[in-house]
Amino acid sequence: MVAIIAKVTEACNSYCAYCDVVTKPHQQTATMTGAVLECLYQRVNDYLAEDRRRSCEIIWHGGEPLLAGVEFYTTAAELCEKLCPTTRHRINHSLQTNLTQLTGAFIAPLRRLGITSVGTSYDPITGIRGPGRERRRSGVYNHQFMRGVRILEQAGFGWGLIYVVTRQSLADPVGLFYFLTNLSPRGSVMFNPVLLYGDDPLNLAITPEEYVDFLGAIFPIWWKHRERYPHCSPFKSLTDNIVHRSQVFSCGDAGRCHGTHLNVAPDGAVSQCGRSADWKLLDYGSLFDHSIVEILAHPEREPLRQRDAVLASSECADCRFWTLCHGGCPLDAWADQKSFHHKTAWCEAKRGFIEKYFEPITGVRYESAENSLPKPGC
Amino acid sequence: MMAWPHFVLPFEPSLIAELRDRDLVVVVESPDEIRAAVAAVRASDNRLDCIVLRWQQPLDALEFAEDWAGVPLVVEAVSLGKLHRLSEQLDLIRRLELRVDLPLASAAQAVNVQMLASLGIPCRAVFGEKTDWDAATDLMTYALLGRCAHAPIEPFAFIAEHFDQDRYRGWGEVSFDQPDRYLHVDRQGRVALFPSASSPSAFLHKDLRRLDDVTTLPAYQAAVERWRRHFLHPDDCARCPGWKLCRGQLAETVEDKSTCSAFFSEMLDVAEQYQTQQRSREPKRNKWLRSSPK
Repeated sequence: MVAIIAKVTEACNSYCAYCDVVTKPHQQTATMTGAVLECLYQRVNDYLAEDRRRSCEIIWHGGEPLLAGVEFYTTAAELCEKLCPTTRHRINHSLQTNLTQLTGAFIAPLRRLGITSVGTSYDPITGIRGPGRERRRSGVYNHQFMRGVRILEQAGFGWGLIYVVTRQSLADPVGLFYFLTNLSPRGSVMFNPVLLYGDDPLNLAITPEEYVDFLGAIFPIWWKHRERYPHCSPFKSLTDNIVHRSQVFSCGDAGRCHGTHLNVAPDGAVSQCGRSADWKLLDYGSLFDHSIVEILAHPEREPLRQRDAVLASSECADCRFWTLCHGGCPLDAWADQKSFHHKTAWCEAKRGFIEKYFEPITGVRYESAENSLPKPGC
Repeated sequence: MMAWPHFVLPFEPSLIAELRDRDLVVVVESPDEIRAAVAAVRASDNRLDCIVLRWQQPLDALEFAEDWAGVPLVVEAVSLGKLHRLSEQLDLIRRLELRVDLPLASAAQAVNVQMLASLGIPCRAVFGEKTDWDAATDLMTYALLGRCAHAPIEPFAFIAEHFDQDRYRGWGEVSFDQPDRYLHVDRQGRVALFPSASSPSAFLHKDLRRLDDVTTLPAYQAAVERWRRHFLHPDDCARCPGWKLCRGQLAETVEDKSTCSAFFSEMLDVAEQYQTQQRSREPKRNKWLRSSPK
């Protein structure tokens, strides 16, 4: 499946302390135009029509994508129906929003796009999220967020949230875990480490070791009650991959994003993902000039294509967790080393968590399928 | 399907007469009022949900009456009293549609609830400021996992029965304290969302007859969603391991939240175990019947 991150706008009503979109110097605050939207669905239809085995996910992203307004999503639904009449059943739409701009009027067009569950993010710690560049008004943000949650729940939508672990989170990992999983009956939560690439005036950054211990404080509780908190990651995804061998990975761990992901900016410029676009890397041209097949075959992707082979024969050669992380996100590697052909610093976090907490607590030792096969000549 | 809202009101014939086509919980202060309260509801265009007797004495001091049979009755007593005195009325008590509410402030009171339940009398353990949480834990475990036959003990039975991993459901209705199920009327006909309403601002309406728009009032919406305030103004409840069961129901009752937190955390384990047991007890289909001719 191809994942298209459609950056509806880079504008956002919140100034999250760790977000580099809202602080980038040349933000594209304009909303994606009708022309870009039309071109997007035309390209998607052409791509899917060529091969009936293909499918596609369009992820409405930002900035805050709901700032585009109800009309934008109504138009998107109309264009999808008009331009993709025979392929739209192979298009899956999703939405990543902070929920603070959600009103009941969004529900119908979102439902028309097939969206019945949305991704969001939240932080109960004061001063991390909220409007106001100098002094974030978390109280305002939290009220709006809760109102959005209520609208979703009344409409029968599901929702899951990403929690970004910062230095402030380290004081009470277990309390945060309960807070976030208590917010909704199924408590769908993903704990991600904060990724900072510039100054850190608020002292938010954490080390991989601190992230490991943050997860390690929660994991015994989650493991004991994993049926009570079925959608809590990275625990769930690691359990699926280590215990159940499901081989389902996020984009950063799959080692395949070179062939699956593209980011469309509000003006139609195409890059690998949100961060590569922010950093002016991996420029694949304009959606107006290239088909999706051409974009996926773009020569700029070559270093990403080579990355698996390079890492498997160098830095990651002896790592028994290679098949779980494939060196991690290439953009993280770039941030550290200015090259895609390195593993990321967060590989140590994954390895550390599995060795220090996951394996001792679960009693399950990870051996990749490749490692467990008999070696040639044995 | 429960019609909404049910009204909880003091026994005041004029109030009952003002209402039409409602389910009523009538609160009486004396056993002498029970017969009249039932008659007043039956003579009106309303239905009787139940009678609540606020009995400010031990249960054994209450003289049960034959003509209470068929009347759903809750007796809120201050204690059990002497079991041997109560046993003299046991045959009659068992014929009544009765639930006994007793406080849970000590291990001895928990044993009393357990004894009543084991005699086949439905009970409710009433949580309060002085709840003995260790005793509550023992009673809850007995109520949900005990092997010997006994009547339901609330709120444990309700919570365990209705616990749903996919949906939050309040359990205030066992004590008529849930605004999306019960509204409360005082002697002046003022309507409140909670039984504890005392200040004028706590009332939704001054007029009992003006109820059609209740669900659209901001105060109603806020009351139904009151659990969310724990997340907007984070407190101990929001970070409690037992939240999925309690949902802040005791936030204003219990000062030391570590006590109720430990209890509900334990109860969450027990409720899951209870539901697993219930599922395993569901009758198995006889596979041979599937192919039997119609």
